[in-house]
Amino acid sequence: MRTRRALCCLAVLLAMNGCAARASGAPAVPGRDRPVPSDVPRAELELIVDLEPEARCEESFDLGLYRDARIELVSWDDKLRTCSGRGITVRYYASKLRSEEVIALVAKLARTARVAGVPQ
Amino acid sequence: MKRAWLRGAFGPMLLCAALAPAALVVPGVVAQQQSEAREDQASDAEKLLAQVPNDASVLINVGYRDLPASPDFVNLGKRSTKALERCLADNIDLDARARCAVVLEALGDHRALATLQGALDDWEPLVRYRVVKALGAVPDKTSVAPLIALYQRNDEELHVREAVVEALGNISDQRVVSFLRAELGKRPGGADLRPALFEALWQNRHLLARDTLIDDAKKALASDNEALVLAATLAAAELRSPRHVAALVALIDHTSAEIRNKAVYALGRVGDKSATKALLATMPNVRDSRMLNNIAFALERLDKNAFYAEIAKTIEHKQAVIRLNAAYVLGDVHHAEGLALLEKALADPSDFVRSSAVAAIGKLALRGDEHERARKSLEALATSPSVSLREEAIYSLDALTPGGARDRIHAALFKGLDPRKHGAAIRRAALALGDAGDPRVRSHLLACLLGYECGVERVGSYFTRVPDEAASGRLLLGWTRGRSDLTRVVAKLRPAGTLPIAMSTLRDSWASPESQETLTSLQILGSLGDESARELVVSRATTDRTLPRILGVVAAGRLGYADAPAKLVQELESCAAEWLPDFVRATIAIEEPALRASLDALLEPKARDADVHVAMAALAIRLAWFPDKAIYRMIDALGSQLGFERTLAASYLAHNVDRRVTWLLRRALAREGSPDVRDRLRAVLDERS
Repeated sequence: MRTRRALCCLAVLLAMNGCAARASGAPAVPGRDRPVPSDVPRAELELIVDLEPEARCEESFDLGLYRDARIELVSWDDKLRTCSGRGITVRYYASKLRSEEVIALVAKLARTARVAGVPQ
Repeated sequence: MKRAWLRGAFGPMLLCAALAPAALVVPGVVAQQQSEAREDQASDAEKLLAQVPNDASVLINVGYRDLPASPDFVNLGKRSTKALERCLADNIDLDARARCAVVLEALGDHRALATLQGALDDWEPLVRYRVVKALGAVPDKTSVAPLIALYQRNDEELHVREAVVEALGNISDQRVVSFLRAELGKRPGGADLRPALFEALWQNRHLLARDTLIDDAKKALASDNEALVLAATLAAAELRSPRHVAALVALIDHTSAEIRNKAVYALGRVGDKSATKALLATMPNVRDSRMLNNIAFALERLDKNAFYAEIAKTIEHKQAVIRLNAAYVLGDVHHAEGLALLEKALADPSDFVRSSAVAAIGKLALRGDEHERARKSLEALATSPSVSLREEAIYSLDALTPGGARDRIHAALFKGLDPRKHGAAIRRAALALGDAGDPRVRSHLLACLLGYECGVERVGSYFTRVPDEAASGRLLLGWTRGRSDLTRVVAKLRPAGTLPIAMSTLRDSWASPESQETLTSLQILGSLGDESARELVVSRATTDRTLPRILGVVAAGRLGYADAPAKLVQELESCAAEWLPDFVRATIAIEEPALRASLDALLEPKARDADVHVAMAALAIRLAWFPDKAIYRMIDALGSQLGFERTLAASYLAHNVDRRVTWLLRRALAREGSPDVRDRLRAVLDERS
């Protein structure tokens, strides 16, 4: 009996919760890119990458890398129409990520990746 | 008899001769009187205008003919709101009321909301139409009920009802969504407003559950109204739902070419393989290049293998124009898989097909060994007797060669061709070399620019990247001769002697504050950083004309005028909404870090102003100056509950072409949780690509 009453209460609560959410019409706050305080340490790494050849190779690479929230920004060289030999500068949160990890992340998304200035 | 006739005619002739000078004078007198009357009218209008900010009742008893022109009111900005409200409520002249409503729309001042809502009861359809448009410029939930009531009146005019739908689209509210959906579901009796209803609903798509939105778009795709179907194909391309595939496939052979093409484009965006068969079946029967290209691009997204199997047949089609397009498509999808097919096309009997194939090879994303192969194939054509083939081969080699092939372009195309026969090819070579910053084409590009043959947006940056004293001087001379399009280049180059010339130009055009001479000399003086021009510029900034005033304050600020930041914020708050994009363009030109920083501190809170026109303008400036800081607020604006704010944000984003902003938008897209905002970001990035 007590169990049934508890289940009823739970059902009512859940229903009320559902109604309230519906009435407010406000969707749950979705995930969104948010600023990181300026005092969080950053570091930069310059790399040369060969990307999978496709029409929007630069964008595909960015969309992949930015899924990792420890990456702050990828800056690109001016060779807009090519997918190979592209120079990038990756800015990342140094307290959360090491440079070797950045290289590993980049290597997963590019056909080849090497640190700029280091011979192949 | 003859003498008698002469005698009879002499009198009137004498009279005519006597009156002739008077006859000549009378039209002159009339013209003078008319001119004086116009001047009086103008000065009356000026007097009236001067009273507008201080006397709310000044326009009540003014007829349409005596009313100042709309731009004059707009120049006063929001200081004219009160008088315009009274004009709308109490002026008996319908045209005057309509003009006052037009200006209120341009102002976008929220304070006029109650008056505008009251004016929905105006007896004249023209006034109601203008009032509804004005309400659309100040979207507010309190307007929903009166607007819907107006729409539902049986005696309302069609164009007013259409304007109501548009205005409702700007107000994001669940009542609006319910109303629009209900109207969309009705069978149209007379005129069909469903395209406008769908457009308004689409503007509020963030308020609908995704399934509902997809269902509504699906119904619209199956509609008998072509404008509605077209709008729905665009919606389907953004929604990318597999549930639209069947409806889109059914549109592939629609009678409207626009709908056919948009449907195929949407199928490509949806990316559902089930459409492959229908696209493959259509491809052999296509009769225009746009459709062929759209199908090919869609197929390439849906099923790469099927695409290459089909395009292999197409590139061997018996019609050269189809083979040419197939080669074009292979280049534009960039995949290395196209190389073998294009190499085959290099042996095509048509020079045009071969040229298209050569150009396509230059676009492919090739790996090391493929690179070498392609280069070898192209080398053989780089000396072809056909100029077009040679030209394309050299450009493709330039694209495939690390570091480019500038010298070859210069020798073979810029210098090696006969200018009388191949002027276009030489021009193309000059532009390509100019893009690469080659100083050898300076004279050519300068002549091209000064001769109105090359646009400043195409070659202007060359002269700032590869500066030269003589070229800079000639550009300055061009500007003094009225070439206002050269203003930005001159402002960047700052050739010797610019200061006195720009100051004299500003003084010389003092009586015409809105002239190009005034506007451009203010921009140039601001960029020179010479404080000796400050007093003159500050003085010009006191004009009652909006744009020279804004440009004057911007220029003064750049020359160290301490009050500039506060004055610019005042302008932002008080100028007409219609002027805000110009305000943004003028302010963005500020380059001085200290001025940017002090102004940014004032703009940051403004970017969250309740007035979305003001908020988005402030945000657009911040995004141009400090994209890393401002991007978050811009993404919030793209995801705002108010559809109007989303639209304004997207519009300002479209005008910002900074690559850094593109990178930040990609980051935002990768991390965005809301499907609706993701769609918006996707669309913004597609536009930028």
